[in-house]
Amino acid sequence: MTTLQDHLAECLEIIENGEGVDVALDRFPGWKAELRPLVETAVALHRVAPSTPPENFRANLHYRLVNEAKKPKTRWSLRWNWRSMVLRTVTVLVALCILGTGTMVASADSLPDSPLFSFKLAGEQAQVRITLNRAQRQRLRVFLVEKRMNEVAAMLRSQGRLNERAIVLLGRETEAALRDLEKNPDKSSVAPLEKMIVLLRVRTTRFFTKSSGQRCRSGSMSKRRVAKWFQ
Amino acid sequence: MQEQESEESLIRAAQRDPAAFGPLYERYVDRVYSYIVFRVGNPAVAEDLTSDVFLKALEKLGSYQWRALPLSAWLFRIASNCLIDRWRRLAKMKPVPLDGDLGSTAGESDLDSLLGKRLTRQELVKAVSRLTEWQKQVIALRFAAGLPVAETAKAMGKSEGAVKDLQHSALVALRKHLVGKGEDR
Repeated sequence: MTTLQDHLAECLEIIENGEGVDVALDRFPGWKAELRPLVETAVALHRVAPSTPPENFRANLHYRLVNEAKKPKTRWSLRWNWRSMVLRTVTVLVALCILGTGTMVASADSLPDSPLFSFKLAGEQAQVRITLNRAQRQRLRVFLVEKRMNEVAAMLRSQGRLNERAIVLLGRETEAALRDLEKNPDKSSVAPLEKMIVLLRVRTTRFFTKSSGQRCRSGSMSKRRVAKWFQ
Repeated sequence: MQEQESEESLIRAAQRDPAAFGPLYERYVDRVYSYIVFRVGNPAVAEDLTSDVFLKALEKLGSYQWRALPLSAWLFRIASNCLIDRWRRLAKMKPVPLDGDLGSTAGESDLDSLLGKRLTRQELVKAVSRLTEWQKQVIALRFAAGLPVAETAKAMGKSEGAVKDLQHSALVALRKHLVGKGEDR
């Protein structure tokens, strides 16, 4: 439904397009009496309200805008760019840290047949590298040998046979620990490593006794390797 | 339609090269100044604010999108925000001080056609000061800046129907105040 407000707006539009007040009002014969006072007020406003800026102000502002536009980069925008670059770098680093930490946590209990196992090894190697104290590093090596040993046992339980990769890794870890110990003898580390080697010998012997001819072929590569390490 | 296309091409040119902002400035400076001077009532303050509006527009032109808002509505939104910022900063300054000095056309020009009586600009200004904030905004955009209803609606973020209602109520109130003034004489 068309209201007085709509007629008023339409009437003013006609006047704004250059028609006279009476011509515009004649288009709305039924509303003429109500529209006339409002249209007259609007016309008066149209005549009085607009102002033009002083010419010198117009010209000065135009000149100022042209100069602003010519500036290649403001210091503020450069600073903003620098800040945004730092912000982006920090965001990427934080994202990588979160991703890395998440992967490390997820891979903590992984076994050699898991795709996450490489992350676990990388994390351990990083941990060895950042451990500068010799005694602490050797203790860490012993701890890692024990870990590898537990992995061999876990794989054996789950697969019912010795896992080649687990054995190789156990060998590498043991060799690395022994090498480290030879280079930098630390009395406090010798005892736990020796204890570990004894434990390993006991476990493997038990395994070979239990599984003779069933789980692991006699004289297999794995068996020979394991035997060689403890000679 | 052609005007819209030419304005669009002017905007694109200015977005590519800010030095091409000149024609857009020339197109809108009078209307923006007129709107601001009507709202603040002080030509010197209006000049400062008009400068702020165009400097901000130049700075933000790169992010302006034609489809979202016509340039006039966008500019008047910037102007409106500049006014609000200024009023917040200078709490002493009233939104429409309307001291009767409305710039170059202020002077002694009279609103002589209204009701056949000679009403001064100062009386008109006093009448406007009694309107609500939205009514003042509609009057400033429609009659000082000369925006059509559709663009006024977009500049104010309201529907055209709401602007028509506000325009009607503002004119009724103004008429009432002015007639009262005339009868008091």
